[in-house]
Amino acid sequence: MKTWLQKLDREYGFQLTEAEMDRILNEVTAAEPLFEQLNAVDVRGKTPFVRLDVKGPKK
Amino acid sequence: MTESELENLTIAESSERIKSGELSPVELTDLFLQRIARLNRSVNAYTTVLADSARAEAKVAEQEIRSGNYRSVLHGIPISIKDNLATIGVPTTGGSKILADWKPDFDATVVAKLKAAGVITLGKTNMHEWALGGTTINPFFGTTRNPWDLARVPGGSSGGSAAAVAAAMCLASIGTDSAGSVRNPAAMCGIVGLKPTYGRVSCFGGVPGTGAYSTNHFGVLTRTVKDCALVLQEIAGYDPKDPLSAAEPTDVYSAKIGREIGYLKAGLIGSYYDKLMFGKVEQIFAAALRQLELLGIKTEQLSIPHMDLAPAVHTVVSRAELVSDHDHYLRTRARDYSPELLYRHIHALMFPAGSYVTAQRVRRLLAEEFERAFERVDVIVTPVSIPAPKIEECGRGVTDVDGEKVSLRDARGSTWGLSTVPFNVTGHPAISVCCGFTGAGQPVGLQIVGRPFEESTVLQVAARYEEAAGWYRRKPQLSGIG
Repeated sequence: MKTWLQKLDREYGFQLTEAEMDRILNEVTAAEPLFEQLNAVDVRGKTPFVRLDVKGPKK
Repeated sequence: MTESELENLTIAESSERIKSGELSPVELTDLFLQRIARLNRSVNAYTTVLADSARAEAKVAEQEIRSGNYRSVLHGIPISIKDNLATIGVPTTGGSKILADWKPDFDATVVAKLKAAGVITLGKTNMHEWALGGTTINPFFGTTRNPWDLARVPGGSSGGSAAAVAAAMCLASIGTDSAGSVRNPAAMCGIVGLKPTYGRVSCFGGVPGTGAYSTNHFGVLTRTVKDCALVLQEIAGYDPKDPLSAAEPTDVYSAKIGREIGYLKAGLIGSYYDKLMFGKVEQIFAAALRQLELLGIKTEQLSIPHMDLAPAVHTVVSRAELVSDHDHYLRTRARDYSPELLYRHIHALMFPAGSYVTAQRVRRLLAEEFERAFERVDVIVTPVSIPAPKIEECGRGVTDVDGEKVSLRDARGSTWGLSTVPFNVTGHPAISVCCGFTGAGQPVGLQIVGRPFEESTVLQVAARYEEAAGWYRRKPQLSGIG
């Protein structure tokens, strides 16, 4: 992850300090469960949601 | 008109008086401008006050009405606009340093529609930086303060809009809601905030990067539900300039206000929302449910199996979409973001591309689960759960709700967003209406959610509740300020 962040830092010219990189990497670590939760869902047969179905159920 | 009368004025009442000639738009505008001059130094609801143009607009409105050219119920009504909606020739900052000097050469569609309806624009309201946060503690334009307690935030990101309405510094405001940014500040300021169905109101002219493409909505903040319906009427509808706007026909949004609601059924999602109520909020929400039941509504617990994933879906989808909008400025003006927001965007640049699509597929599951739920009920009711924190609590990340310590953030985002983001994920219309006050005197919101494009039912239920509960009659005390 740190190598990837350093690459982004060079590409975008952020000039991040070591402390800033550590903070961002901490956020990356903290967010890992979000991705794990989503990846654990069986989404076979589900197309990505693009917009609300305007023909949704009405009584 | 006295200040006390101004504090209690609604669009519904004032429009009738304006139409009959009893109330002058020029005098009304002057009264609001005087009140803004007295209060804005303390509340900081406005970033730009348009005193001269507002007076000029009011004179034109008055002449038009006198000559029989009454345009709409909003003719001569003083309102405000959040500072991320383009307004021709007027600063439109998005709450950012980067756009501090931008004066658009066009109006957002909503602004153009409101001008055509004859409103008086009093000014642009303060907001969270790039609309990406819920406090309206803005490092460049200052902190907006909550009219109920100036030591507290008004919520956000449309915090200036909510504070301006609550403090009677305008009769209505237009905000934007990508994660709860209309409903949360409305709840924290004790007013009404509506996020319509996704696509119901054009988002053309919204500052890019102040709301994710697939979760953002323009919304309405007012003192009463009826006023909310009157404003929605003027701004709803398809817009060819916004490819994401909906072609579904509009409704007469005030038509069902005042009607009985006893034939309707409300769904509850206790498995999700029970964990989000702290301090007296649980009692306040329970009392609101009892009030709805007294009005004849039946309630039913609903099962939304993937509900707990709604915040994760929102975080992944919205941050990925937003960082795309910010790419240019991240490459050219990265240090003109607040550090917190810069780090958040850099983190989003590291999201795996596949995770965005996975989140959108989980989003489909959620949408289907809500579609099934709405076959059983007419509306869903929830709390808008976190009352306004103190300003210094936002820095510490922990607030006190009636003696209970509540963390304001976790990996899913802000705690207050947890109540509202599910309906940014699904796009359903949702309103917040005041349902009581905490022990510290802070307002709490009741969220009423409807089927797609059934804003009329949402407004009908909200209006009946509002009238029966009567919380809207309570006003913040601002007489000693300024």
